[in-house]
Amino acid sequence: MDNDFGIKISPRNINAFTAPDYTLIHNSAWVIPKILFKGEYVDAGDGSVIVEHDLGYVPMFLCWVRKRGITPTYENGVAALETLPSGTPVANAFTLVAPAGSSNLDGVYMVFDVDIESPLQAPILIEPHPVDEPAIDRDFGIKISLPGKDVNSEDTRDLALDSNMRSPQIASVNPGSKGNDSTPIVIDHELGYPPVIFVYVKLDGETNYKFLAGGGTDYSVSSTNESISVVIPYACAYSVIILKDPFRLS
Amino acid sequence: MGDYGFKDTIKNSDVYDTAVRNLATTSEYPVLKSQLGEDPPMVDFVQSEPFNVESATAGTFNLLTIPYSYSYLPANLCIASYSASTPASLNDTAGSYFMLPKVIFVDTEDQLDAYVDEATSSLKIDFIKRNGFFQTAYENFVLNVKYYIFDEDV
Repeated sequence: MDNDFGIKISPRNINAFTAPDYTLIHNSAWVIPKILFKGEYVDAGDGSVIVEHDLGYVPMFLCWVRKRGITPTYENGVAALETLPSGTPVANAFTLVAPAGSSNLDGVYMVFDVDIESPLQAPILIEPHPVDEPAIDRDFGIKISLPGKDVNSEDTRDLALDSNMRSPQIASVNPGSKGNDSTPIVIDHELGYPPVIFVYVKLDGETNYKFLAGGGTDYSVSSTNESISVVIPYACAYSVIILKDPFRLS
Repeated sequence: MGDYGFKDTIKNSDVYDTAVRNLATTSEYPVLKSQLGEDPPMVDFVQSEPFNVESATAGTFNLLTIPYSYSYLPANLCIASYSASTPASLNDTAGSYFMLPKVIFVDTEDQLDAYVDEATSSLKIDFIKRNGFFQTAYENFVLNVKYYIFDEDV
């Protein structure tokens, strides 16, 4: 993907040809993960839910888990990114597994159009790094609605693109494998800030990828201005997805 | 999507016949997106007040609360770093950021959690201090968080 091809949309009085990325409303070189489908699982009594799909690849997925009935208990709360779900490649399904100490699953999953087993490196387009958000001119911009939705809807969930909003982008997808040791997986990046990262791990002998959050009792995941470090003391296949931040960058 | 909408592709892909993954933008699928210009911001850096707790104390302690105006529970992400004068070992990772939730001190399994709370319409970040076999005190524990609140409901 080159930077000399595609669509750029700039705000009023900004030259789209010369504007840095953070001032643009839209750039088709941005790799923005699309939500292919989402679902809710409510009180899944057997402790697991199998979600079938026909994508033919292992998709990036995220879960927000309602923690009713386990410790800690959040009544009507939703916690992001628990290390609970796992995904199954090729078989076109992934399995959501209840946390330890609970027989119930309760939450929402989203599946994105990102193949976690295929390397991807988006171009580094953003420079310089601004401190502030771009100025918002609500009288100017672009909106594109989802099928069957009104572009004038007050509910932004009805919109696929809204120039008053920004979406996280994929900076890179980094699949790999490692042996049964504590050697860290280190991935350098050129973003200049600690990016959001999603780590998926498939232990040797298993078929499912598990999502790893920030750190547990036997693994760690950290992000700095220059690199990502993941320590998993097991032989496994992995994929580290690094997000590019469309907002304040420093 | 039928015969209307908006699509543009990445380079060398045919916009009329291509996989969703080859589309740069499409009106067929939603994306996670955050509103600009909100007060409080839907994306921001924030820092907690210094937190202190004795070793024998267990419980859930709120460190940060960020209100939002959605009438539903919005998707959210948090990336954080921390420091403390006690236990000093927490500073071994100074400058590193972690996605939440995270077990911050392995021996005690004390944990940081981020979640949206329907009762208060806010994103909350809590310190969960357990009272198991291992215990430790925390002094001047400070959390730096970058949070994202999206418009998709969860």
